[in-house]
Amino acid sequence: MEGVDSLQKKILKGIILFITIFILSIESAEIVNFVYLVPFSLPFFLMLNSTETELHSENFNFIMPFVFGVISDIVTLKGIFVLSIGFVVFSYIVFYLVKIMAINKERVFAFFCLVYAIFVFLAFNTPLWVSLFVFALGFLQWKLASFIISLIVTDKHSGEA
Amino acid sequence: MRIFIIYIIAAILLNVSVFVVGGLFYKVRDVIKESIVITSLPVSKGLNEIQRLIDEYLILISVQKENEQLKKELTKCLAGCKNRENKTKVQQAQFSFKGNFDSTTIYLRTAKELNLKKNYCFVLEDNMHLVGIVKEKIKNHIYMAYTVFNPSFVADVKIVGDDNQTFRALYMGNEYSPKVEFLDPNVNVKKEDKVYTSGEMGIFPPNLFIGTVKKVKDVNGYYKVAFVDIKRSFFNKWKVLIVCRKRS
Repeated sequence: MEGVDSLQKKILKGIILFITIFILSIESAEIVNFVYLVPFSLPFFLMLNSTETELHSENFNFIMPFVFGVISDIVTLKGIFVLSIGFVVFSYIVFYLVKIMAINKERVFAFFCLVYAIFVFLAFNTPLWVSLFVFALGFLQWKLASFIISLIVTDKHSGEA
Repeated sequence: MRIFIIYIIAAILLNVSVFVVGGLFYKVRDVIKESIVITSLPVSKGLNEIQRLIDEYLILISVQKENEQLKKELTKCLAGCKNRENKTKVQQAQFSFKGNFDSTTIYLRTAKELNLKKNYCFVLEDNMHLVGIVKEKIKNHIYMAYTVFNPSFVADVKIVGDDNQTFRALYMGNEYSPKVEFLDPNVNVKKEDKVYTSGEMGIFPPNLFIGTVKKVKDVNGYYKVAFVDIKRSFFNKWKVLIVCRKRS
Protein backbone atom coordinates (compact mmCIF):
# COMPACT_ATOMS: atom_id res chain seq x y z
CA MET A 1 0.00 0.00 0.00
CA GLU A 2 2.89 2.34 0.78
CA GLY A 3 4.15 2.02 -2.77
CA VAL A 4 0.77 2.93 -4.22
CA ASP A 5 0.47 5.86 -1.81
CA SER A 6 3.88 7.22 -2.73
CA LEU A 7 3.08 6.84 -6.44
CA GLN A 8 -0.18 8.71 -6.00
CA LYS A 9 1.64 11.43 -4.09
CA LYS A 10 4.25 11.65 -6.79
CA ILE A 11 1.61 11.96 -9.53
CA LEU A 12 -0.17 14.64 -7.50
CA LYS A 13 3.07 16.51 -6.96
CA GLY A 14 3.83 16.20 -10.67
CA ILE A 15 0.46 17.70 -11.60
CA ILE A 16 0.92 20.55 -9.09
CA LEU A 17 4.42 21.17 -10.41
CA PHE A 18 3.17 21.14 -13.98
CA ILE A 19 0.47 23.71 -13.24
CA THR A 20 2.83 25.90 -11.19
CA ILE A 21 5.59 25.93 -13.80
CA PHE A 22 3.10 26.45 -16.62
CA ILE A 23 1.49 29.47 -14.96
CA LEU A 24 4.77 30.99 -13.77
CA SER A 25 6.40 30.66 -17.18
CA ILE A 26 3.42 32.12 -19.03
CA GLU A 27 3.17 35.09 -16.69
CA SER A 28 6.91 35.75 -16.93
CA ALA A 29 6.78 35.52 -20.72
CA GLU A 30 3.79 37.88 -20.71
CA ILE A 31 5.75 40.44 -18.70
CA VAL A 32 8.76 40.16 -21.03
CA ASN A 33 6.65 40.44 -24.15
CA PHE A 34 4.74 43.37 -22.68
CA VAL A 35 7.98 45.30 -22.29
CA TYR A 36 9.45 44.15 -25.59
CA LEU A 37 8.53 41.33 -27.97
CA VAL A 38 11.21 38.73 -27.35
CA PRO A 39 11.06 35.53 -29.45
CA PHE A 40 11.14 32.12 -27.73
CA SER A 41 10.72 33.64 -24.28
CA LEU A 42 7.96 31.20 -23.26
CA PRO A 43 9.87 28.04 -24.32
CA PHE A 44 12.98 29.38 -22.60
CA PHE A 45 11.18 29.94 -19.30
CA LEU A 46 9.46 26.55 -19.60
CA MET A 47 12.85 24.96 -20.18
CA LEU A 48 14.49 26.69 -17.21
CA ASN A 49 11.69 25.86 -14.80
CA SER A 50 11.20 22.29 -15.94
CA THR A 51 14.94 21.68 -15.63
CA GLU A 52 14.77 22.83 -12.03
CA THR A 53 12.41 19.92 -11.21
CA GLU A 54 15.18 17.43 -11.97
CA LEU A 55 17.66 18.97 -9.55
CA HIS A 56 15.88 17.82 -6.44
CA SER A 57 16.31 14.41 -4.89
CA GLU A 58 12.75 13.43 -5.81
CA ASN A 59 13.29 13.38 -9.55
CA PHE A 60 10.64 12.78 -12.17
CA ASN A 61 12.74 10.96 -14.78
CA PHE A 62 12.85 14.04 -17.02
CA ILE A 63 9.13 13.84 -17.64
CA MET A 64 8.63 17.57 -16.98
CA PRO A 65 11.18 18.75 -19.55
CA PHE A 66 9.71 16.32 -22.05
CA VAL A 67 6.11 17.43 -21.51
CA PHE A 68 6.99 21.12 -21.63
CA GLY A 69 9.15 20.42 -24.65
CA VAL A 70 6.12 18.90 -26.39
CA ILE A 71 4.05 21.98 -25.47
CA SER A 72 6.80 24.28 -26.78
CA ASP A 73 6.97 22.23 -29.99
CA ILE A 74 3.24 22.53 -30.48
CA VAL A 75 3.16 26.26 -29.75
CA THR A 76 6.42 27.37 -31.36
CA LEU A 77 7.44 24.90 -34.04
CA LYS A 78 3.94 23.97 -35.12
CA GLY A 79 4.28 20.22 -35.25
CA ILE A 80 7.94 19.28 -35.45
CA PHE A 81 8.83 17.61 -32.17
CA VAL A 82 12.43 18.60 -31.60
CA LEU A 83 12.34 20.77 -28.50
CA SER A 84 10.90 17.86 -26.48
CA ILE A 85 14.22 16.04 -26.88
CA GLY A 86 16.16 19.32 -26.64
CA PHE A 87 14.61 20.13 -23.26
CA VAL A 88 15.48 16.66 -21.96
CA VAL A 89 19.07 16.98 -23.18
CA PHE A 90 19.39 20.44 -21.68
CA SER A 91 17.99 19.19 -18.38
CA TYR A 92 20.46 16.34 -18.39
CA ILE A 93 23.36 18.75 -19.07
CA VAL A 94 22.30 20.97 -16.17
CA PHE A 95 21.74 17.89 -14.00
CA TYR A 96 25.24 16.69 -14.90
CA LEU A 97 26.84 20.08 -14.19
CA VAL A 98 25.07 20.53 -10.86
CA LYS A 99 24.91 17.03 -9.47
CA ILE A 100 27.94 15.25 -10.96
CA MET A 101 30.38 18.14 -11.38
CA ALA A 102 28.96 19.92 -8.30
CA ILE A 103 28.93 23.38 -9.87
CA ASN A 104 26.88 26.00 -8.08
CA LYS A 105 23.30 25.82 -9.40
CA GLU A 106 22.86 29.58 -9.48
CA ARG A 107 25.94 30.07 -11.61
CA VAL A 108 24.78 27.44 -14.09
CA PHE A 109 21.34 29.00 -14.50
CA ALA A 110 22.78 32.51 -14.59
CA PHE A 111 25.11 31.36 -17.36
CA PHE A 112 22.23 29.92 -19.42
CA CYS A 113 20.16 33.06 -18.87
CA LEU A 114 23.11 35.07 -20.10
CA VAL A 115 23.47 32.81 -23.15
CA TYR A 116 19.80 33.35 -23.98
CA ALA A 117 20.16 37.13 -23.50
CA ILE A 118 23.18 37.20 -25.83
CA PHE A 119 21.31 35.02 -28.34
CA VAL A 120 18.37 37.44 -28.30
CA PHE A 121 20.71 40.43 -28.57
CA LEU A 122 22.69 39.05 -31.52
CA ALA A 123 20.11 37.02 -33.42
CA PHE A 124 17.15 39.40 -33.19
CA ASN A 125 18.94 42.77 -32.87
CA THR A 126 17.07 43.69 -29.71
CA PRO A 127 18.33 46.70 -27.73
CA LEU A 128 20.90 46.01 -25.05
CA TRP A 129 18.57 47.00 -22.21
CA VAL A 130 16.05 44.41 -23.42
CA SER A 131 18.71 41.70 -23.28
CA LEU A 132 19.68 42.76 -19.78
CA PHE A 133 16.03 42.84 -18.75
CA VAL A 134 15.47 39.35 -20.17
CA PHE A 135 18.54 38.11 -18.33
CA ALA A 136 17.44 39.64 -15.02
CA LEU A 137 13.81 38.51 -15.30
CA GLY A 138 14.83 35.01 -16.45
CA PHE A 139 17.10 34.59 -13.47
CA LEU A 140 14.60 36.03 -10.99
CA GLN A 141 11.72 33.92 -12.21
CA TRP A 142 13.94 30.83 -12.04
CA LYS A 143 14.78 31.73 -8.43
CA LEU A 144 11.07 32.01 -7.70
CA ALA A 145 10.34 28.73 -9.47
CA SER A 146 13.19 27.07 -7.57
CA PHE A 147 11.74 28.28 -4.28
CA ILE A 148 8.23 27.07 -5.12
CA ILE A 149 9.46 23.71 -6.38
CA SER A 150 11.52 23.21 -3.21
CA LEU A 151 8.32 23.75 -1.24
CA ILE A 152 6.39 21.16 -3.27
CA VAL A 153 9.09 18.54 -3.69
CA THR A 154 10.45 17.01 -0.51
CA ASP A 155 14.18 16.62 -0.51
CA LYS A 156 15.22 13.24 0.83
CA HIS A 157 18.27 14.75 2.54
CA SER A 158 16.24 17.17 4.57
CA GLY A 159 13.66 14.48 5.28
CA GLU A 160 16.30 12.08 6.54
CA ALA A 161 17.92 14.78 8.62
CA MET B 1 19.96 6.08 -21.13
CA ARG B 2 16.84 3.96 -21.36
CA ILE B 3 14.72 6.98 -20.52
CA PHE B 4 16.30 9.00 -23.31
CA ILE B 5 15.57 6.26 -25.83
CA ILE B 6 11.95 6.16 -24.68
CA TYR B 7 11.67 9.95 -25.09
CA ILE B 8 13.28 9.87 -28.53
CA ILE B 9 10.86 7.15 -29.65
CA ALA B 10 7.96 9.14 -28.20
CA ALA B 11 9.09 12.25 -30.10
CA ILE B 12 9.39 10.29 -33.34
CA LEU B 13 5.91 8.83 -32.79
CA LEU B 14 4.56 12.30 -32.19
CA ASN B 15 6.16 13.54 -35.41
CA VAL B 16 4.62 10.66 -37.32
CA SER B 17 1.24 11.11 -35.67
CA VAL B 18 1.11 14.73 -36.85
CA PHE B 19 1.20 13.50 -40.43
CA VAL B 20 -1.27 10.71 -39.78
CA VAL B 21 -3.85 12.52 -37.64
CA GLY B 22 -3.17 16.18 -38.41
CA GLY B 23 -6.68 17.34 -37.49
CA LEU B 24 -6.34 16.16 -33.92
CA PHE B 25 -2.98 17.89 -33.61
CA TYR B 26 -4.46 21.22 -34.65
CA LYS B 27 -7.25 20.80 -32.10
CA VAL B 28 -4.69 20.11 -29.36
CA ARG B 29 -2.69 23.13 -30.48
CA ASP B 30 -5.76 25.36 -30.31
CA VAL B 31 -6.56 24.09 -26.80
CA ILE B 32 -3.00 24.76 -25.61
CA LYS B 33 -2.92 28.22 -27.15
CA GLU B 34 -6.29 28.99 -25.63
CA SER B 35 -5.10 27.86 -22.21
CA ILE B 36 -1.98 30.05 -22.55
CA VAL B 37 -4.13 33.06 -23.41
CA ILE B 38 -6.50 32.42 -20.49
CA THR B 39 -3.61 31.92 -18.08
CA SER B 40 -1.90 35.12 -19.13
CA LEU B 41 -5.11 37.16 -19.01
CA PRO B 42 -4.86 38.51 -15.40
CA VAL B 43 -1.26 39.66 -15.80
CA SER B 44 -2.04 41.00 -19.27
CA LYS B 45 -4.95 43.05 -17.93
CA GLY B 46 -2.87 44.32 -15.02
CA LEU B 47 -0.03 45.33 -17.33
CA ASN B 48 -2.43 47.08 -19.70
CA GLU B 49 -3.85 49.01 -16.76
CA ILE B 50 -0.33 50.04 -15.74
CA GLN B 51 0.38 51.09 -19.32
CA ARG B 52 -2.82 53.15 -19.40
CA LEU B 53 -1.83 54.93 -16.19
CA ILE B 54 1.68 55.59 -17.54
CA ASP B 55 0.21 56.92 -20.80
CA GLU B 56 -2.16 59.21 -18.89
CA TYR B 57 0.72 60.48 -16.78
CA LEU B 58 2.85 61.12 -19.87
CA ILE B 59 -0.02 62.98 -21.53
CA LEU B 60 -0.46 65.07 -18.38
CA ILE B 61 3.25 65.91 -18.35
CA SER B 62 3.21 66.84 -22.04
CA VAL B 63 0.10 69.03 -21.58
CA GLN B 64 1.73 70.79 -18.65
CA LYS B 65 4.86 71.38 -20.71
CA GLU B 66 2.76 72.66 -23.58
CA ASN B 67 0.89 75.01 -21.26
CA GLU B 68 4.13 76.35 -19.85
CA GLN B 69 5.43 76.82 -23.36
CA LEU B 70 2.27 78.66 -24.40
CA LYS B 71 2.44 80.83 -21.31
CA LYS B 72 6.03 81.75 -22.11
CA GLU B 73 5.11 82.51 -25.72
CA LEU B 74 2.23 84.70 -24.58
CA THR B 75 4.40 86.63 -22.13
CA LYS B 76 7.04 87.04 -24.80
CA CYS B 77 4.44 88.23 -27.29
CA LEU B 78 2.96 90.76 -24.86
CA ALA B 79 6.41 92.06 -23.95
CA GLY B 80 7.24 92.28 -27.64
CA CYS B 81 4.06 94.21 -28.35
CA LYS B 82 4.86 96.71 -25.62
CA ASN B 83 8.49 97.14 -26.55
CA ARG B 84 8.14 97.66 -30.26
CA GLU B 85 7.63 101.39 -30.57
CA ASN B 86 6.36 102.90 -33.77
CA LYS B 87 6.30 99.48 -35.41
CA THR B 88 2.98 98.26 -34.12
CA LYS B 89 -0.29 99.93 -33.44
CA VAL B 90 0.14 99.58 -29.69
CA GLN B 91 2.62 101.52 -27.59
CA GLN B 92 2.96 102.44 -23.96
CA ALA B 93 2.75 106.00 -22.66
CA GLN B 94 2.47 107.93 -19.43
CA PHE B 95 0.56 111.20 -19.24
CA SER B 96 0.21 114.12 -16.94
CA PHE B 97 -2.74 116.38 -17.77
CA LYS B 98 -3.70 120.04 -17.46
CA GLY B 99 -7.12 121.59 -17.66
CA ASN B 100 -10.49 120.44 -16.43
CA PHE B 101 -13.08 118.17 -17.89
CA ASP B 102 -15.68 120.91 -18.22
CA SER B 103 -13.73 122.35 -21.11
CA THR B 104 -13.88 120.97 -24.60
CA THR B 105 -10.39 119.54 -24.57
CA ILE B 106 -7.69 118.60 -22.17
CA TYR B 107 -3.94 118.97 -22.48
CA LEU B 108 -1.71 115.96 -22.09
CA ARG B 109 2.00 115.92 -21.42
CA THR B 110 3.79 112.69 -22.17
CA ALA B 111 6.65 111.47 -19.98
CA LYS B 112 8.82 110.92 -23.01
CA GLU B 113 8.64 112.02 -26.59
CA LEU B 114 6.19 109.99 -28.65
CA ASN B 115 5.20 110.51 -32.20
CA LEU B 116 1.44 110.46 -31.68
CA LYS B 117 -0.90 111.47 -34.42
CA LYS B 118 -4.45 112.73 -34.57
CA ASN B 119 -7.14 110.25 -33.55
CA TYR B 120 -4.81 107.86 -31.75
CA CYS B 121 -6.87 106.36 -28.93
CA PHE B 122 -5.50 105.70 -25.50
CA VAL B 123 -6.76 102.97 -23.21
CA LEU B 124 -5.92 101.91 -19.67
CA GLU B 125 -3.02 99.53 -19.68
CA ASP B 126 -4.38 97.03 -17.15
CA ASN B 127 -7.94 96.52 -18.39
CA MET B 128 -8.07 98.19 -21.84
CA HIS B 129 -10.81 100.63 -20.84
CA LEU B 130 -11.16 103.54 -23.24
CA VAL B 131 -9.83 106.85 -21.86
CA GLY B 132 -9.72 109.22 -24.77
CA ILE B 133 -8.43 110.21 -28.16
CA VAL B 134 -5.60 112.49 -29.33
CA LYS B 135 -6.89 115.51 -31.20
CA GLU B 136 -3.84 117.53 -32.01
CA LYS B 137 -0.12 117.71 -31.35
CA ILE B 138 0.85 121.03 -29.76
CA LYS B 139 4.55 120.55 -29.05
CA ASN B 140 6.88 117.59 -28.78
CA HIS B 141 5.48 116.36 -25.47
CA ILE B 142 2.16 118.14 -25.37
CA TYR B 143 -1.05 117.03 -27.01
CA MET B 144 -4.59 118.21 -27.08
CA ALA B 145 -7.07 115.40 -26.47
CA TYR B 146 -10.66 114.48 -25.71
CA THR B 147 -11.41 112.09 -22.89
CA VAL B 148 -14.58 110.24 -22.06
CA PHE B 149 -15.26 112.99 -19.49
CA ASN B 150 -15.05 115.90 -21.90
CA PRO B 151 -18.40 117.09 -23.29
CA SER B 152 -16.99 117.21 -26.81
CA PHE B 153 -16.17 113.50 -26.73
CA VAL B 154 -18.55 111.59 -29.01
CA ALA B 155 -18.22 107.95 -29.94
CA ASP B 156 -20.28 105.36 -31.74
CA VAL B 157 -21.06 102.66 -29.17
CA LYS B 158 -23.08 99.54 -28.58
CA ILE B 159 -24.72 98.38 -25.39
CA VAL B 160 -24.49 94.65 -24.88
CA GLY B 161 -27.48 93.26 -23.02
CA ASP B 162 -28.71 89.80 -22.10
CA ASP B 163 -28.23 87.03 -24.66
CA ASN B 164 -25.56 89.20 -26.28
CA GLN B 165 -28.18 91.51 -27.79
CA THR B 166 -26.55 94.75 -28.92
CA PHE B 167 -28.12 98.20 -29.20
CA ARG B 168 -26.23 100.84 -31.15
CA ALA B 169 -26.24 104.55 -30.23
CA LEU B 170 -23.99 107.55 -29.55
CA TYR B 171 -21.94 108.09 -26.47
CA MET B 172 -21.42 111.64 -25.24
CA GLY B 173 -18.78 112.46 -22.68
CA ASN B 174 -19.35 114.29 -19.43
CA GLU B 175 -17.49 114.50 -16.18
CA TYR B 176 -20.48 113.66 -13.99
CA SER B 177 -23.17 112.25 -16.27
CA PRO B 178 -21.69 110.61 -19.36
CA LYS B 179 -24.50 109.08 -21.37
CA VAL B 180 -25.53 107.04 -24.38
CA GLU B 181 -28.13 109.01 -26.33
CA PHE B 182 -30.66 108.21 -29.03
CA LEU B 183 -31.36 104.64 -28.07
CA ASP B 184 -34.41 103.18 -29.73
CA PRO B 185 -37.39 103.49 -27.32
CA ASN B 186 -38.22 99.80 -27.78
CA VAL B 187 -34.82 98.43 -26.71
CA ASN B 188 -34.57 96.68 -23.39
CA VAL B 189 -31.50 98.27 -21.87
CA LYS B 190 -30.99 97.50 -18.20
CA LYS B 191 -28.77 98.53 -15.37
CA GLU B 192 -25.31 96.90 -15.42
CA ASP B 193 -25.36 96.39 -19.19
CA LYS B 194 -21.95 97.12 -20.65
CA VAL B 195 -21.06 99.85 -23.12
CA TYR B 196 -18.43 99.21 -25.78
CA THR B 197 -17.24 101.10 -28.83
CA SER B 198 -18.78 99.67 -31.97
CA GLY B 199 -16.02 100.89 -34.31
CA GLU B 200 -18.42 101.34 -37.17
CA MET B 201 -17.55 104.98 -37.80
CA GLY B 202 -13.88 104.12 -38.12
CA ILE B 203 -12.65 106.50 -35.48
CA PHE B 204 -12.42 104.18 -32.50
CA PRO B 205 -11.31 100.57 -32.57
CA PRO B 206 -14.24 98.24 -31.86
CA ASN B 207 -14.99 96.54 -28.52
CA LEU B 208 -13.19 98.98 -26.22
CA PHE B 209 -14.97 99.05 -22.87
CA ILE B 210 -16.27 102.44 -21.72
CA GLY B 211 -18.48 101.76 -18.71
CA THR B 212 -21.67 100.19 -17.39
CA VAL B 213 -25.22 101.48 -17.56
CA LYS B 214 -26.35 102.91 -14.22
CA LYS B 215 -29.71 104.42 -15.19
CA VAL B 216 -32.03 104.44 -18.21
CA LYS B 217 -34.29 107.39 -19.00
CA ASP B 218 -37.09 107.52 -21.54
CA VAL B 219 -37.29 110.89 -23.32
CA ASN B 220 -41.00 111.43 -24.00
CA GLY B 221 -41.23 108.12 -25.85
CA TYR B 222 -38.98 109.33 -28.67
CA TYR B 223 -35.77 107.74 -27.56
CA LYS B 224 -33.99 106.47 -24.50
CA VAL B 225 -30.92 107.77 -22.72
CA ALA B 226 -28.64 105.46 -20.75
CA PHE B 227 -26.43 107.09 -18.19
CA VAL B 228 -23.03 105.44 -17.94
CA ASP B 229 -20.89 104.77 -14.90
CA ILE B 230 -17.18 105.04 -15.67
CA LYS B 231 -14.47 104.03 -13.26
CA ARG B 232 -12.48 107.12 -12.44
CA SER B 233 -9.45 105.32 -11.05
CA PHE B 234 -7.25 106.32 -13.95
CA PHE B 235 -7.13 109.92 -12.71
CA ASN B 236 -4.31 108.75 -10.49
CA LYS B 237 -2.44 106.60 -12.95
CA TRP B 238 -2.19 107.98 -16.36
CA LYS B 239 -0.37 104.99 -17.64
CA VAL B 240 -2.04 104.01 -20.85
CA LEU B 241 -1.64 102.17 -24.09
CA ILE B 242 -1.91 104.07 -27.30
CA VAL B 243 -4.03 102.28 -29.84
CA CYS B 244 -4.00 103.39 -33.42
CA ARG B 245 -7.47 103.20 -34.82
CA LYS B 246 -6.60 103.90 -38.45
CA ARG B 247 -8.26 101.57 -40.88
CA SER B 248 -7.18 103.22 -44.12
